[in-house]
Amino acid sequence: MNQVLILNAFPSEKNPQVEEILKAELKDKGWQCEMFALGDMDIKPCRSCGNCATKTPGLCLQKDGMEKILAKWVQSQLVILLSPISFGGYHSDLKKVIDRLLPLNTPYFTVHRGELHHENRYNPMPSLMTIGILREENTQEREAFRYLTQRNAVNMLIDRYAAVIITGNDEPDDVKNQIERGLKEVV
Amino acid sequence: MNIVSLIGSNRGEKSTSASMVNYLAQQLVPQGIPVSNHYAVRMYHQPHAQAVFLQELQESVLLIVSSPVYVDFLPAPLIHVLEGVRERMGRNGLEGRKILAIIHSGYPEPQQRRPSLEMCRCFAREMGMEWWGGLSFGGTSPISGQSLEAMGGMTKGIRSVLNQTVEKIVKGGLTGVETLALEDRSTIPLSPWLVKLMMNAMIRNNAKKSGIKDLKARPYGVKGK
Repeated sequence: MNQVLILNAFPSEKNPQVEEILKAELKDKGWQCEMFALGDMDIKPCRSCGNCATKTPGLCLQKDGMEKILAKWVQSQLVILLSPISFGGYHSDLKKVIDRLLPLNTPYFTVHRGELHHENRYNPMPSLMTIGILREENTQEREAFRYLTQRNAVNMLIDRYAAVIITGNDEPDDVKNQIERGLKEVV
Repeated sequence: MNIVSLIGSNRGEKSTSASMVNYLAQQLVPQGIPVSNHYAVRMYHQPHAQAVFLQELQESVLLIVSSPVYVDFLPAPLIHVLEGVRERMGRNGLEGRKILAIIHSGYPEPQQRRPSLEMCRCFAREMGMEWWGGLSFGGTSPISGQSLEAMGGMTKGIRSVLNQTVEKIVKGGLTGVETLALEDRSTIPLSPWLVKLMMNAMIRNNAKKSGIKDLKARPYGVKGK
């Protein structure tokens, strides 16, 4: 059975529909999902020490909620990042996790799509789907969020990715359709 | 004019982000333009430091955000501070103030810094600030918090851009722009393939010297096992 990791920085009390629709869609497909509610977890910011690259390869010296997330990431076929959109990007609760993904890279460099990047420590990487929630329509933030998703996919050497953007006043049917469309792109 | 800087690196005072702001301050302060440094990582851990930052920000003319790129984007503590500014001051709460972003990363390609510049511009729009543009610098890892002058010729291009920026700030030559990045410079003039070969050889040598056997270790196992 395919495994899905959901990293959720969107408090469910603000809009339980998104989470419910997403889980129902994944259940319909027979996917097994595990969700981490990031706002409730103890995750420290990256210290930017570089030890996970060269001194303790693949391991972060900080011991907190990230160990479970990294272990699950490695075993997943799909990772879904669910976040309010902060200035065109992820909320800081989610970005704290993204900053701590460095143990998934080796220190070695590779050239991917003509750009310099670090090699993945684990292959293949899961597909990536981001779900960004805008409080209200904002074209610049929408475009910035899409571009960020694309950049994450390039940087993590991920082939299949999708960005879904939902606004606060979207009807449940719209949300469902958009999530369905996103899942089709990554599955 | 007084300037407030917001340094995004989690290395705080010992960071390249701080080196860049310090280089600007060394030239601005003698010309009667004070620069006050604030560190996102400190504000993240000590919320009272954010109150001081907000107070100074309200009294300032220009905010300089200086930050590295962590996994394609601004570091989490910096985003946390920006979210806090929006929460406390509300939309358009910094109307009339200007913002300049200095974004740097180890990678030479400008597209690797674009999402961070975009975020700073989105923050400016939301807070009603005038966007004075971004300075984008690649190949900055070797600086590692040292002074830009100490790096000699390697940082010549970066210093040249910063010198021009100082001149524009002093003479009032910076204005609101639509452009995302005013300048992009990289200290690495080589092809990515060549950089890859050189860097990987250096990494292998360093690992050998420090007795690290397997830099490609997989402590979380392999997929499906």
